[in-house]
Amino acid sequence: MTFSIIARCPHTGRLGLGIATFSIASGGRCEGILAGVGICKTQAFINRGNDLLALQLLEQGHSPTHVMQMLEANDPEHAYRQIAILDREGNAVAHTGSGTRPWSGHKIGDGYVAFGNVLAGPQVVEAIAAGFLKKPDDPLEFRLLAALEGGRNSGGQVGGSGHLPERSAAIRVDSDPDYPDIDVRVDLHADAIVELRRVLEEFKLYEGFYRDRGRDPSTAITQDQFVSQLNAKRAPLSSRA
Amino acid sequence: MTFAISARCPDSGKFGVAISTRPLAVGSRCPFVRPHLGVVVSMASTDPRLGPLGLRLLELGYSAQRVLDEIAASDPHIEYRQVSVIDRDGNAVARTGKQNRDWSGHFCKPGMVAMGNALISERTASAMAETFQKSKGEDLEARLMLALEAGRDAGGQHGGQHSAALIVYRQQEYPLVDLRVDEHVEPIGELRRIFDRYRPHIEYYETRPWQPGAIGSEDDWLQRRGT
Repeated sequence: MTFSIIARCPHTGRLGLGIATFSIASGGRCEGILAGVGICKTQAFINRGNDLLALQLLEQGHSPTHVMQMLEANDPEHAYRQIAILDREGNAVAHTGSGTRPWSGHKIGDGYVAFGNVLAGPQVVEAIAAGFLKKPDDPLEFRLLAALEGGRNSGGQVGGSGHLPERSAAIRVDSDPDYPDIDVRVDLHADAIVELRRVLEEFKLYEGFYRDRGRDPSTAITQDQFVSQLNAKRAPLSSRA
Repeated sequence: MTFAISARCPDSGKFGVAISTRPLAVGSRCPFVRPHLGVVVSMASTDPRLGPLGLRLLELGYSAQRVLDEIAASDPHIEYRQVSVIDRDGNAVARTGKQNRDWSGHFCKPGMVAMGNALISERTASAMAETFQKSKGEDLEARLMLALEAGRDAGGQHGGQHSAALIVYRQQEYPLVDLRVDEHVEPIGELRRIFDRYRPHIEYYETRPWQPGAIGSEDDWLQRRGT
């Protein structure tokens, strides 16, 4: 039970991943992303070794299609996995094994894969894709968020006993192999995608401050100064509300 | 402003970090762990690139102290940083740059570093170290969580905490435990809530990859184990 999107930003080449699920801390199981190389995300009955292996194979120069064949050859339980792979050029491939629980499936588009299992139906992956495509000029992190919101709004996850809420969610966007540009997570929450939007929007206010302070602390203002500047900018907005 | 405890468990070989700070999403920028190799924490005015650099130096075979010296030689702003390194032999070292705000400092024991900057007092760091030592026998993830709580209870840091993270690696290339609270008024309490909910599932997630058909559903598995 999970719905996800992996994508490449056509403007910047950045790679990103969005995920939401009923399970706790799904953002902690997303190692398979490396700037300049590609993304691999395995879910359903997850085999976590897959994603890091796939990155190494992509790094050798293999195509996503061939990497998927090698994952299959390496894993006797391949039929239980749901796997999406995207290379740094946006070439994509996906596999939804027959052992994954229904409804499960994927949609491959230009530079992205929308995929999920234990979903309300195929309309969920269609809505993930539609959310992603809605504002093609937005920063990748907000396109990924719109994709998750689309999946949620079209029914999200439905298990044996009915609808399953999203309890964890995460968005990650990478442009450097050493650390993520954006890495925001909600690990356990009654409405994880709503909370994820709140955290992402808050983080975006600090993103440049954190980055610049790390690069050159000797010229940076303190966090106290930054927060008071932020509050000064916010004050007119909140008094209007 | 951040406090962190990092450690290597000599019995299990696990490496882990528990960390909390005032800025958002600390887990995405400060703790860096590689199984069988070591742990690097880069904080204060952090440059997240120092973490991967430290892990690569460990991979070359340098000891913890040598890695820390190389990082210091490489970074023109090292006096604004606080960095710790633990290697696979349990050598544990840290460096608190001169530009860190009071109280700042570190305590190093074999296999453990407790450190922080812009803390209410030295007690935040020393309480983490003491609690970690006292909790021997428990799983590393539980010891780190207890230590982080002790740091908070000893006063924490100026400005309070807004994010927290708990990360532990064991055998696999991916983490055994990787939990985060990115923006919350009491992130360590929230991390504890999530950890307690997550903990019974850890071995399920470790086992399921190799027997996805036989293991059955998460709920059934938990019931069978009586957890």
